[in-house]
Amino acid sequence: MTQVVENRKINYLDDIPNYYRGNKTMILWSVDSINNDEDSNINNEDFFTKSPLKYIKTPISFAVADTDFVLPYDLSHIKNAITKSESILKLKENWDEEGALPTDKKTFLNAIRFIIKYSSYLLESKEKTVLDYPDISILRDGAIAVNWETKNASFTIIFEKDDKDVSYYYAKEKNSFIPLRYGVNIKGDIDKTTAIWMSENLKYNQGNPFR
Amino acid sequence: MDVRKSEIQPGEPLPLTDSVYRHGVNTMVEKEDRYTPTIYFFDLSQTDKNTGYSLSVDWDKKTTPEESIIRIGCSYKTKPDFEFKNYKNRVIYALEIAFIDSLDWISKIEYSPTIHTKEILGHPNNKAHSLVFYDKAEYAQNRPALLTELRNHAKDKKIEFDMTKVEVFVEKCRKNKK
Repeated sequence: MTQVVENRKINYLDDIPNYYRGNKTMILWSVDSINNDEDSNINNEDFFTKSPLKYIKTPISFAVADTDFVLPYDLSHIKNAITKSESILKLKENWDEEGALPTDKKTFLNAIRFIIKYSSYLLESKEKTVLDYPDISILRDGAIAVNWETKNASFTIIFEKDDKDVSYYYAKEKNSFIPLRYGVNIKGDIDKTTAIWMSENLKYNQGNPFR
Repeated sequence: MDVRKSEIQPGEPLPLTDSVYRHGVNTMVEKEDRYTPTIYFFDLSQTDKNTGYSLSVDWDKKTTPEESIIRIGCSYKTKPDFEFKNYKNRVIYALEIAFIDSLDWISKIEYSPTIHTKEILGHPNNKAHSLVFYDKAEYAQNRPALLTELRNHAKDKKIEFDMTKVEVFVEKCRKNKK
Protein backbone atom coordinates (compact mmCIF):
# COMPACT_ATOMS: atom_id res chain seq x y z
CA MET A 1 0.00 0.00 0.00
CA THR A 2 1.39 3.38 -0.95
CA GLN A 3 0.11 6.73 0.16
CA VAL A 4 1.01 10.28 -0.80
CA VAL A 5 2.02 12.15 2.31
CA GLU A 6 0.46 15.60 2.29
CA ASN A 7 1.80 16.26 -1.26
CA ARG A 8 5.23 16.45 0.28
CA LYS A 9 7.95 16.73 -2.36
CA ILE A 10 10.79 14.34 -1.88
CA ASN A 11 13.72 14.72 -4.25
CA TYR A 12 16.26 12.21 -3.13
CA LEU A 13 16.01 8.97 -1.36
CA ASP A 14 18.91 10.04 0.77
CA ASP A 15 16.83 12.90 2.11
CA ILE A 16 14.27 10.59 3.51
CA PRO A 17 14.76 10.05 7.19
CA ASN A 18 13.68 6.75 8.65
CA TYR A 19 11.85 8.63 11.28
CA TYR A 20 10.56 12.16 11.01
CA ARG A 21 8.83 14.35 13.56
CA GLY A 22 7.00 17.50 12.55
CA ASN A 23 4.43 19.64 14.30
CA LYS A 24 2.46 17.19 16.39
CA THR A 25 2.84 14.60 13.67
CA MET A 26 5.02 11.61 13.24
CA ILE A 27 5.76 9.87 9.97
CA LEU A 28 7.08 6.34 9.94
CA TRP A 29 8.91 4.89 6.98
CA SER A 30 9.47 1.26 6.29
CA VAL A 31 12.02 0.58 3.62
CA ASP A 32 12.10 -2.87 2.12
CA SER A 33 15.18 -2.28 0.11
CA ILE A 34 16.95 0.61 -1.56
CA ASN A 35 18.86 0.12 -4.73
CA ASN A 36 20.46 3.47 -5.43
CA ASP A 37 21.73 2.54 -8.88
CA GLU A 38 18.31 1.54 -10.08
CA ASP A 39 16.48 4.50 -8.59
CA SER A 40 18.95 7.30 -9.05
CA ASN A 41 16.97 8.81 -11.93
CA ILE A 42 13.63 8.69 -10.30
CA ASN A 43 11.65 11.96 -10.49
CA ASN A 44 9.06 13.28 -8.13
CA GLU A 45 6.10 12.15 -10.21
CA ASP A 46 7.35 8.63 -10.42
CA PHE A 47 8.47 8.53 -6.86
CA PHE A 48 5.38 6.99 -5.36
CA THR A 49 4.86 4.48 -8.11
CA LYS A 50 8.41 3.38 -8.80
CA SER A 51 10.05 3.91 -5.47
CA PRO A 52 11.44 0.94 -3.59
CA LEU A 53 9.74 2.43 -0.57
CA LYS A 54 6.98 -0.09 -0.22
CA TYR A 55 5.06 1.52 2.59
CA ILE A 56 4.77 5.20 3.32
CA LYS A 57 2.52 5.58 6.29
CA THR A 58 0.93 8.72 7.61
CA PRO A 59 0.50 8.99 11.34
CA ILE A 60 -3.03 9.04 12.60
CA SER A 61 -4.26 12.12 14.40
CA PHE A 62 -7.48 11.83 16.31
CA ALA A 63 -9.33 13.33 19.25
CA VAL A 64 -11.19 11.63 22.06
CA ALA A 65 -12.64 13.30 25.13
CA ASP A 66 -11.59 16.70 23.71
CA THR A 67 -7.96 15.62 23.72
CA ASP A 68 -5.71 15.24 20.67
CA PHE A 69 -3.64 12.12 20.13
CA VAL A 70 -1.32 10.83 17.43
CA LEU A 71 -0.56 7.19 16.76
CA PRO A 72 1.75 5.59 14.20
CA TYR A 73 -0.07 4.24 11.17
CA ASP A 74 0.69 0.65 12.17
CA LEU A 75 -1.51 1.13 15.23
CA SER A 76 -4.63 2.21 13.35
CA HIS A 77 -6.50 -0.80 14.78
CA ILE A 78 -5.82 0.58 18.26
CA LYS A 79 -7.04 4.03 17.26
CA ASN A 80 -10.27 2.43 16.02
CA ALA A 81 -10.80 0.66 19.34
CA ILE A 82 -10.18 3.90 21.23
CA THR A 83 -12.55 6.07 19.20
CA LYS A 84 -15.21 3.36 19.36
CA SER A 85 -14.99 3.35 23.15
CA GLU A 86 -15.64 7.09 23.48
CA SER A 87 -19.39 6.42 23.70
CA ILE A 88 -18.70 5.22 27.25
CA LEU A 89 -18.51 8.88 28.28
CA LYS A 90 -22.13 9.41 27.26
CA LEU A 91 -23.48 6.86 29.75
CA LYS A 92 -25.51 8.47 32.50
CA GLU A 93 -26.14 7.25 36.02
CA ASN A 94 -28.05 3.94 36.11
CA TRP A 95 -26.89 3.10 32.56
CA ASP A 96 -27.33 -0.61 33.25
CA GLU A 97 -30.73 -0.22 34.96
CA GLU A 98 -29.07 -1.60 38.08
CA GLY A 99 -27.69 1.61 39.55
CA ALA A 100 -24.33 1.76 37.73
CA LEU A 101 -22.39 5.02 37.94
CA PRO A 102 -21.03 7.02 34.99
CA THR A 103 -17.31 7.42 34.40
CA ASP A 104 -15.52 10.75 33.97
CA LYS A 105 -13.14 12.22 31.42
CA LYS A 106 -10.10 11.92 33.69
CA THR A 107 -10.56 8.19 34.29
CA PHE A 108 -11.27 7.52 30.62
CA LEU A 109 -8.19 9.47 29.54
CA ASN A 110 -5.99 7.63 32.06
CA ALA A 111 -6.95 4.44 30.26
CA ILE A 112 -6.44 5.89 26.78
CA ARG A 113 -3.04 7.37 27.66
CA PHE A 114 -1.90 3.99 29.01
CA ILE A 115 -2.89 2.24 25.77
CA ILE A 116 -1.23 4.87 23.59
CA LYS A 117 1.91 5.05 25.71
CA TYR A 118 2.56 1.32 25.79
CA SER A 119 1.50 0.53 22.21
CA SER A 120 3.69 3.35 20.81
CA TYR A 121 6.62 2.38 23.01
CA LEU A 122 6.45 -1.25 21.90
CA LEU A 123 6.25 -0.30 18.22
CA GLU A 124 9.33 1.88 18.57
CA SER A 125 11.20 -0.79 20.53
CA LYS A 126 13.88 -3.03 19.03
CA GLU A 127 11.30 -5.79 18.51
CA LYS A 128 8.86 -3.37 16.80
CA THR A 129 5.95 -5.15 18.41
CA VAL A 130 2.52 -4.24 17.05
CA LEU A 131 0.18 -4.60 19.99
CA ASP A 132 -3.28 -6.08 19.49
CA TYR A 133 -6.25 -3.79 20.08
CA PRO A 134 -7.90 -3.94 23.48
CA ASP A 135 -11.47 -4.04 24.67
CA ILE A 136 -12.17 -0.81 26.55
CA SER A 137 -15.21 -0.96 28.80
CA ILE A 138 -16.88 0.74 31.72
CA LEU A 139 -17.45 -1.00 35.04
CA ARG A 140 -20.32 -0.53 37.45
CA ASP A 141 -18.64 2.09 39.62
CA GLY A 142 -17.46 4.13 36.63
CA ALA A 143 -13.97 2.61 36.54
CA ILE A 144 -12.54 1.80 33.09
CA ALA A 145 -11.30 -1.68 32.23
CA VAL A 146 -8.87 -2.34 29.41
CA ASN A 147 -8.61 -5.95 28.40
CA TRP A 148 -6.44 -7.73 25.84
CA GLU A 149 -7.04 -11.34 24.88
CA THR A 150 -4.86 -13.35 22.55
CA LYS A 151 -4.77 -17.05 21.85
CA ASN A 152 -2.08 -17.48 24.48
CA ALA A 153 -2.63 -14.78 27.02
CA SER A 154 -4.95 -12.38 28.77
CA PHE A 155 -4.29 -8.93 30.25
CA THR A 156 -6.78 -6.85 32.22
CA ILE A 157 -6.03 -3.49 33.81
CA ILE A 158 -8.54 -1.37 35.71
CA PHE A 159 -8.38 2.40 36.01
CA GLU A 160 -10.23 3.39 39.16
CA LYS A 161 -12.30 6.55 39.23
CA ASP A 162 -10.27 8.04 42.08
CA ASP A 163 -7.41 9.07 39.74
CA LYS A 164 -4.76 7.21 41.72
CA ASP A 165 -1.24 6.94 40.31
CA VAL A 166 -1.27 3.16 40.47
CA SER A 167 -3.56 0.88 38.47
CA TYR A 168 -3.67 -2.86 38.99
CA TYR A 169 -3.58 -5.48 36.29
CA TYR A 170 -3.82 -9.21 35.86
CA ALA A 171 -1.71 -10.84 33.17
CA LYS A 172 -1.91 -14.51 32.46
CA GLU A 173 -0.35 -16.80 29.92
CA LYS A 174 -2.80 -19.60 29.19
CA ASN A 175 -0.20 -22.35 29.50
CA SER A 176 1.18 -20.96 32.73
CA PHE A 177 -0.13 -21.45 36.24
CA ILE A 178 1.65 -18.38 37.53
CA PRO A 179 -0.24 -15.24 36.54
CA LEU A 180 1.13 -11.77 37.09
CA ARG A 181 -0.78 -9.51 39.47
CA TYR A 182 0.86 -6.16 39.49
CA GLY A 183 0.38 -2.46 40.16
CA VAL A 184 1.77 -0.07 37.59
CA ASN A 185 2.34 3.66 37.98
CA ILE A 186 0.29 4.94 35.06
CA LYS A 187 1.62 8.47 35.33
CA GLY A 188 5.27 7.54 35.47
CA ASP A 189 7.72 6.15 32.95
CA ILE A 190 7.13 2.94 31.03
CA ASP A 191 7.23 -0.04 33.35
CA LYS A 192 9.69 -2.40 31.67
CA THR A 193 8.31 -5.59 33.26
CA THR A 194 4.85 -4.77 31.96
CA ALA A 195 6.10 -3.73 28.53
CA ILE A 196 8.15 -6.90 28.05
CA TRP A 197 5.21 -9.08 29.04
CA MET A 198 2.90 -7.23 26.65
CA SER A 199 5.45 -7.46 23.85
CA GLU A 200 5.75 -11.21 24.26
CA ASN A 201 2.07 -12.01 24.69
CA LEU A 202 -0.23 -9.40 23.14
CA LYS A 203 0.93 -9.18 19.55
CA TYR A 204 -1.59 -8.21 16.89
CA ASN A 205 -3.00 -11.03 14.75
CA GLN A 206 -1.95 -13.73 17.19
CA GLY A 207 -5.50 -14.96 17.20
CA ASN A 208 -8.17 -14.05 19.67
CA PRO A 209 -10.51 -16.63 21.15
CA PHE A 210 -13.20 -14.07 21.89
CA ARG A 211 -13.48 -12.55 18.43
CA MET B 1 -28.27 -39.42 66.70
CA ASP B 2 -27.04 -38.45 63.26
CA VAL B 3 -28.99 -35.36 62.33
CA ARG B 4 -28.60 -34.31 58.70
CA LYS B 5 -30.08 -31.26 57.14
CA SER B 6 -32.09 -32.09 54.08
CA GLU B 7 -32.14 -28.48 52.93
CA ILE B 8 -29.53 -25.78 52.72
CA GLN B 9 -30.52 -23.00 55.09
CA PRO B 10 -30.15 -19.24 54.51
CA GLY B 11 -26.61 -18.17 55.35
CA GLU B 12 -25.12 -21.57 54.56
CA PRO B 13 -22.67 -22.24 51.72
CA LEU B 14 -24.03 -23.62 48.45
CA PRO B 15 -22.98 -27.15 47.44
CA LEU B 16 -19.90 -27.28 45.22
CA THR B 17 -21.64 -29.64 42.81
CA ASP B 18 -24.21 -27.05 41.70
CA SER B 19 -24.17 -23.90 39.57
CA VAL B 20 -25.50 -20.37 39.87
CA TYR B 21 -27.07 -18.15 37.23
CA ARG B 22 -26.04 -14.58 36.64
CA HIS B 23 -28.25 -12.41 34.45
CA GLY B 24 -27.67 -9.02 32.86
CA VAL B 25 -28.70 -6.65 30.06
CA ASN B 26 -27.64 -8.16 26.73
CA THR B 27 -26.18 -4.95 25.30
CA MET B 28 -23.88 -4.63 28.30
CA VAL B 29 -22.90 -8.28 28.49
CA GLU B 30 -22.56 -9.21 24.83
CA LYS B 31 -20.94 -6.65 22.56
CA GLU B 32 -20.16 -6.95 18.90
CA ASP B 33 -16.47 -7.63 18.33
CA ARG B 34 -15.86 -7.68 22.07
CA TYR B 35 -15.08 -10.39 24.52
CA THR B 36 -18.26 -12.09 25.65
CA PRO B 37 -19.43 -11.98 28.33
CA THR B 38 -17.88 -8.65 29.29
CA ILE B 39 -16.07 -8.35 32.60
CA TYR B 40 -18.63 -5.72 33.59
CA PHE B 41 -21.03 -8.63 34.06
CA PHE B 42 -19.21 -9.81 37.19
CA ASP B 43 -18.40 -6.44 38.65
CA LEU B 44 -19.96 -5.08 41.84
CA SER B 45 -22.23 -2.04 41.85
CA GLN B 46 -21.91 0.58 44.57
CA THR B 47 -24.96 -1.00 46.22
CA ASP B 48 -23.24 -4.40 46.12
CA LYS B 49 -20.21 -2.86 47.82
CA ASN B 50 -22.38 -1.24 50.46
CA THR B 51 -23.92 -4.61 51.25
CA GLY B 52 -20.76 -6.57 51.92
CA TYR B 53 -19.05 -6.77 48.51
CA SER B 54 -21.38 -9.46 47.21
CA LEU B 55 -22.61 -10.38 43.74
CA SER B 56 -26.25 -11.49 43.36
CA VAL B 57 -26.83 -14.81 41.63
CA ASP B 58 -29.58 -17.44 41.46
CA TRP B 59 -28.92 -20.99 42.67
CA ASP B 60 -29.84 -23.37 39.84
CA LYS B 61 -31.38 -25.93 42.21
CA LYS B 62 -34.06 -23.44 43.24
CA THR B 63 -34.96 -21.82 39.96
CA THR B 64 -35.23 -22.32 36.23
CA PRO B 65 -33.69 -19.78 33.83
CA GLU B 66 -37.23 -18.76 32.84
CA GLU B 67 -38.16 -18.06 36.48
CA SER B 68 -35.08 -15.87 36.85
CA ILE B 69 -36.18 -13.74 33.89
CA ILE B 70 -39.81 -13.65 35.06
CA ARG B 71 -38.65 -12.19 38.38
CA ILE B 72 -36.86 -9.40 36.49
CA GLY B 73 -40.03 -8.61 34.53
CA CYS B 74 -41.98 -8.40 37.78
CA SER B 75 -39.39 -6.14 39.48
CA TYR B 76 -39.27 -2.37 39.58
CA LYS B 77 -36.28 -0.51 38.19
CA THR B 78 -33.93 1.03 40.74
CA LYS B 79 -34.75 4.43 39.22
CA PRO B 80 -37.29 5.68 38.39
CA ASP B 81 -39.49 3.94 40.91
CA PHE B 82 -42.71 2.15 40.04
CA GLU B 83 -41.61 1.26 36.54
CA PHE B 84 -41.03 -2.38 35.68
CA LYS B 85 -37.65 -3.54 34.44
CA ASN B 86 -37.20 -4.53 30.83
CA TYR B 87 -36.90 -8.30 30.87
CA LYS B 88 -36.73 -8.86 27.11
CA ASN B 89 -33.13 -7.71 26.86
CA ARG B 90 -31.65 -10.16 29.37
CA VAL B 91 -29.09 -12.92 29.03
CA ILE B 92 -28.10 -15.60 31.52
CA TYR B 93 -24.76 -17.30 32.05
CA ALA B 94 -24.03 -20.14 34.45
CA LEU B 95 -21.09 -20.33 36.82
CA GLU B 96 -19.99 -23.53 38.52
CA ILE B 97 -19.88 -23.07 42.27
CA ALA B 98 -16.79 -25.30 42.57
CA PHE B 99 -14.94 -22.98 40.19
CA ILE B 100 -16.00 -19.82 42.01
CA ASP B 101 -15.01 -21.37 45.32
CA SER B 102 -11.57 -22.26 43.94
CA LEU B 103 -10.69 -18.60 43.38
CA ASP B 104 -8.53 -17.02 46.06
CA TRP B 105 -10.42 -13.75 45.97
CA ILE B 106 -13.81 -15.20 46.93
CA SER B 107 -14.61 -15.45 50.63
CA LYS B 108 -17.87 -17.44 50.43
CA ILE B 109 -20.88 -18.36 48.28
CA GLU B 110 -23.94 -18.18 50.45
CA TYR B 111 -27.62 -19.05 50.10
CA SER B 112 -29.57 -15.84 50.71
CA PRO B 113 -33.21 -16.14 49.62
CA THR B 114 -35.31 -12.99 49.58
CA ILE B 115 -38.71 -14.00 50.85
CA HIS B 116 -41.15 -11.43 52.20
CA THR B 117 -43.92 -12.58 54.50
CA LYS B 118 -46.25 -10.45 52.41
CA GLU B 119 -45.39 -10.00 48.77
CA ILE B 120 -44.16 -6.48 48.00
CA LEU B 121 -45.18 -4.81 44.76
CA GLY B 122 -42.26 -4.73 42.30
CA HIS B 123 -40.05 -6.81 44.60
CA PRO B 124 -40.89 -10.47 43.99
CA ASN B 125 -39.72 -13.21 46.29
CA ASN B 126 -36.65 -15.07 45.14
CA LYS B 127 -36.08 -18.41 46.83
CA ALA B 128 -33.01 -19.00 44.63
CA HIS B 129 -31.21 -15.77 45.52
CA SER B 130 -27.64 -16.31 46.63
CA LEU B 131 -24.58 -14.16 47.15
CA VAL B 132 -21.00 -14.56 46.00
CA PHE B 133 -18.88 -12.63 48.49
CA TYR B 134 -15.74 -11.04 47.07
CA ASP B 135 -12.80 -10.58 49.38
CA LYS B 136 -13.14 -6.97 50.49
CA ALA B 137 -9.52 -6.61 51.60
CA GLU B 138 -7.37 -5.59 48.64
CA TYR B 139 -10.38 -5.60 46.32
CA ALA B 140 -8.79 -3.03 43.98
CA GLN B 141 -5.70 -5.22 43.58
CA ASN B 142 -7.73 -8.39 43.06
CA ARG B 143 -10.46 -6.94 40.88
CA PRO B 144 -8.78 -7.44 37.47
CA ALA B 145 -7.93 -11.06 38.28
CA LEU B 146 -11.34 -11.86 39.71
CA LEU B 147 -13.34 -10.37 36.85
CA THR B 148 -11.10 -11.94 34.20
CA GLU B 149 -11.28 -15.43 35.69
CA LEU B 150 -15.07 -15.31 36.13
CA ARG B 151 -15.51 -14.02 32.59
CA ASN B 152 -13.25 -16.69 31.11
CA HIS B 153 -15.09 -19.39 33.03
CA ALA B 154 -18.52 -18.19 31.85
CA LYS B 155 -17.46 -17.81 28.22
CA ASP B 156 -19.12 -21.02 26.99
CA LYS B 157 -21.84 -21.23 29.61
CA LYS B 158 -24.63 -19.13 28.18
CA ILE B 159 -28.03 -20.48 29.20
CA GLU B 160 -30.89 -20.47 26.72
CA PHE B 161 -34.47 -19.97 27.89
CA ASP B 162 -37.99 -19.95 26.50
CA MET B 163 -39.00 -16.30 26.16
CA THR B 164 -42.56 -17.17 25.12
CA LYS B 165 -43.08 -18.85 28.43
CA VAL B 166 -41.51 -15.92 30.24
CA GLU B 167 -43.75 -13.37 28.49
CA VAL B 168 -46.92 -15.16 29.52
CA PHE B 169 -45.98 -15.14 33.20
CA VAL B 170 -44.62 -11.59 33.24
CA GLU B 171 -47.74 -10.16 31.60
CA LYS B 172 -49.86 -12.04 34.12
CA CYS B 173 -47.81 -10.76 37.03
CA ARG B 174 -47.91 -7.17 35.77
CA LYS B 175 -51.68 -7.31 35.24
CA ASN B 176 -52.16 -8.57 38.76
CA LYS B 177 -50.26 -5.58 40.09
CA LYS B 178 -52.50 -3.02 38.35
